[in-house]
Amino acid sequence: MTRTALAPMYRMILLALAFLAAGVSFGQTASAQTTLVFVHGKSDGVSTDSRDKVINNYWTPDMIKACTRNYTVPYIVCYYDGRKHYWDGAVDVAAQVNAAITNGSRNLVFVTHSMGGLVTRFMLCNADPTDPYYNYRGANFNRIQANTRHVLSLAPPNAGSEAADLAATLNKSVLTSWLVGLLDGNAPSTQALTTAHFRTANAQWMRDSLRSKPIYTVAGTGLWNDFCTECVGLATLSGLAGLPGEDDGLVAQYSAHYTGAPGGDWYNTDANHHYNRRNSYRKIGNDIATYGY
Amino acid sequence: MKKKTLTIATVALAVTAAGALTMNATSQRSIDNPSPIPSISKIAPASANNSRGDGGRLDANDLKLSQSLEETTSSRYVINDATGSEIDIPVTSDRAQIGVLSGENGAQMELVAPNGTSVAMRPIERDVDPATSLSKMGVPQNGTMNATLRENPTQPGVYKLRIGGGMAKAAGTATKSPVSVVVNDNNDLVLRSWLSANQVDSNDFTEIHAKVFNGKEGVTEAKVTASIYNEKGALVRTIPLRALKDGDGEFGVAIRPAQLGRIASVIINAKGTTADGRAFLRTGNLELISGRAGARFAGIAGENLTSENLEVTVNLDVRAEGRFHVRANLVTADGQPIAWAQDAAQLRPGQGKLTLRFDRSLLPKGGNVSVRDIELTDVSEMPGVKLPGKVGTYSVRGTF
Repeated sequence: MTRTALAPMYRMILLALAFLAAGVSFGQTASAQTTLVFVHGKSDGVSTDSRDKVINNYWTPDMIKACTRNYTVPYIVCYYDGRKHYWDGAVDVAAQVNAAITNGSRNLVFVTHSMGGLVTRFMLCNADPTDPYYNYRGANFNRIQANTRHVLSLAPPNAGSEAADLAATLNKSVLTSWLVGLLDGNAPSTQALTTAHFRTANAQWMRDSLRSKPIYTVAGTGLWNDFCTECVGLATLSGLAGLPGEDDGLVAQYSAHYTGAPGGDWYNTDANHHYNRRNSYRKIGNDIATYGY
Repeated sequence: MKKKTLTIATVALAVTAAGALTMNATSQRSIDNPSPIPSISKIAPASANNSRGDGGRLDANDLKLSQSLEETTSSRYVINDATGSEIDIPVTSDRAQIGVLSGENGAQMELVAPNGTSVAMRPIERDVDPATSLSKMGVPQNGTMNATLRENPTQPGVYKLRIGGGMAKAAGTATKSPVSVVVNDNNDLVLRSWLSANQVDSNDFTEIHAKVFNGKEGVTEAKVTASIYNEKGALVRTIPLRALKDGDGEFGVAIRPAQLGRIASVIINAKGTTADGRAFLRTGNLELISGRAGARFAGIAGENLTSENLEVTVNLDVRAEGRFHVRANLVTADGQPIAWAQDAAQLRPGQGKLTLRFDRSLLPKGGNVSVRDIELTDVSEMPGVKLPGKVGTYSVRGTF
């Protein structure tokens, strides 16, 4: 065969590889073009360096199954190094989502947890040519915005986290990471989750007025869901960090619901920060499947 | 020895069980998921203030954001790397929580209240469950952590933390590892810290401010320092803040943020005594963004009314090629919000222009409006740096 004749085949192979790399699965009876996009939050990098690890370590398969109505709705599970700043995570996530939406337009419904909500928010706040960080570092946020219906944001620290403030004031943040492994203050991601950072970010590159796509927020309000070490750590951290009002151990209710229109508050759950990304203590995945899109 | 270990374990279990009883009570108070959960498809979509991407209607909240400062508040403090066999821990409320981490396995700690009684602390295991913990970074293999029970009342006064404890001390086995202490007083004795400006050009100055409030009153009997860490986490310097105004308790210092890197952190420590004689410590934090901006503000070029927009053009002297962004608010003569607009472009060295286009359909009849909160930022890197040069308010001359 000639090189010209092979070109379409190469393109098909490359397309298939791109889909596999992005971790795209399509169900058989999916509703039109709705596609769920899962964006995780902080991690040590290693725990979330592949699609499978993110499914097993972060979301749990039951959560994915529930959200996608028993895998009948197409979905993308994104992965990135959760130690990075949220704006750098956005570049990685955008590349994976764009690689997955090559065959026609979509109705993307993002399901995000914790910092994953900030990653997604950064993309949607910087998707128009006059936005401050439009298509930051060559990422195509604009195309993602054009294909997005809305975002379901679970426990996002939209105004920062007092737990990150505490981590920032401790040498090497050993104490906070002892309590909750997620909260290693040496990582850039933790440093950019302080309430101080979001006082600036929310007045600049994360303004609601920069967005045209709705974000619906879920806030965690419970602490002692059970006696897992992370649950004990979250409850202790809540008191030591001084999270104001109700909180889930890492994110206060006011911070999760900080974002306004377009979108707004969806609901509160008594699942703590460990459980409000899962479908176990409270059936959040079922809620998303039934009421979320 | 075995008997002693067993006794400690029994006490620990009892403390944990006591905590568990409280846990159930806490869970019952929590808010369960609403039933039914509102369906997203039935939630009326609130209108966005972003009709075209480059501007839209301005509301009161968005206008307020333009005047917001970077500020934080804290009712807690930390003691890093404390050493010695006895550490003073001032507490100012009856609902404080205290956490202590030693880098030594099995370290003995005894917390003594101001009235001399021993205070129960709950042992806290490290978050190591691979199914729950997503990060092992920076977590030591060894250590001991204890925390007071959040539900137990505390006594205002000075607690004593005895490291090594009575038993270990008697056996000559006092811990050599430094300890970290966190105390959240959880009251209205609060350290408020703020920056006069953030995202500053590294040739400009910014001011670090701090004020301890006891309720609504400022606390004047205090010493306040700011420790500045560069973006790599290295301590650059610790500087004292001086009292700024007689009697109101505000402290401040001006700094030029040179050679700090893009994102520096500032840790503010306050130590003092309230008017009613309570000794206190407080720790706060700020983030300081700085860098070298590649342009300067060079004035407003003028205005132009088109069929669709009120256009206001801003001039820049560009020193280094980069991406630049401008955002501003349009308000009435009495400061009521009307519209906002933004523009951004990649500009080369020389004279550059950015144009704000305020939606004409939003303008009030007659005119008498002004453009304010004009923010010019070099956004070549994230996060960006504000351009130096005084940017005032521009009164629109035209009428509509």
